[in-house]
Amino acid sequence: MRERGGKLFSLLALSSAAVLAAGGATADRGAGGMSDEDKIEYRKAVYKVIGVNFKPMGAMVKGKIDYDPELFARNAQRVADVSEMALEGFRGGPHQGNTESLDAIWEEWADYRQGTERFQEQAQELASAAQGGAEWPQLKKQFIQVADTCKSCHDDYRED
Amino acid sequence: MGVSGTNAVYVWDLWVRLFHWGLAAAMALAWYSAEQGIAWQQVHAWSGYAVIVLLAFRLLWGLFGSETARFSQFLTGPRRVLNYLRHWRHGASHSIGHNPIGGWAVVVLLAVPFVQAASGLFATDEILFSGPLNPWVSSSTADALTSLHVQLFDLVLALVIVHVAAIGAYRLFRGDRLVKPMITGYKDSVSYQPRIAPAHRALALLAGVIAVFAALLAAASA
Repeated sequence: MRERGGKLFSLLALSSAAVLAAGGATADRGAGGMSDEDKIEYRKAVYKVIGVNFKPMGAMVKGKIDYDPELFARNAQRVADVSEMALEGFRGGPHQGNTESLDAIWEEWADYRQGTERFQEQAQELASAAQGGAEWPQLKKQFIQVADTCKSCHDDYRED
Repeated sequence: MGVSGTNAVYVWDLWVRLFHWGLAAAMALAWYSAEQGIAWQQVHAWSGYAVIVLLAFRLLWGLFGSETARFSQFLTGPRRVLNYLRHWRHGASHSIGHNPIGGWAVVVLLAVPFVQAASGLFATDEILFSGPLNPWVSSSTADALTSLHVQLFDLVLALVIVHVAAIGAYRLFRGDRLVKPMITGYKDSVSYQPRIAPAHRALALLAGVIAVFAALLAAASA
């Protein structure tokens, strides 16, 4: 966390900017806000970043590659940070375009938001545990917790 | 119903029965484990492998197995199926093995779970786990097979319901007890003893199926 402070700060700044931008778009939708395609592209990009950072941790958890505490902690922090950025891409939907998001997201918005918050909490817990030097079995368990929050929303809110 | 228990005949060999209940158990476990989240993914994968091995064995047993297990014995043309259905309610005839409509039900009940399980080999949860053959196909093909794997479940469930309902209907409307023979192997009021294939043949076929499937998985993970 110490020597990652700078990077973390810029990531947070970036995420705040994105949140503000997307929030602004919600406020004046239709008047120079993000288009539907922009929103879809934005949230896909967020999940792409999460996925790319998630993958090596998954490989470690499955024993496909050796556990690298530093890489694991770094990626866990990235996932936790970027998890805060996802919801903005869904505001004001459903959006028209190339997306697998189901309308149920907006029909059950409170539940969807809770699911995203669970993901954020679990991801932050994983990042904290990894940086706090938690035991590997404990980290693996927590990683599965995070993955389960992904799965539960995929099951309910993403096209099969 | 039949005459009495005295002329009970051995119609379902051990392998047909083990296959049947093994398939039911493996499919139930696959369903349960799929609902339990990511920690159960390995159980889901292995129950799926069991489904595939069992179905592949049953296919071979349908060609080389006991008389009542063979497709050639229980698959008949549409005329006989329609005729059977027409006289279903009061039909006096007791089939030795599968009846004309039941035989085709077997085909459907083998084919759909096979497609379901085989598509799972290529599927991915896009989170952590992918089926062992997933690397062999493009990601768009994997997506399509994942959708198939997920969506086909509804059909599998519907087939299970129809299967169980049909057994209930036979009991209710015709007085036929179909469950007990599938447990004990013995059925009443059957006119003759069908030929039973030797056990070593079943074991050899099962071993062959497991070996081929294991080689497939090994090739995929290499």
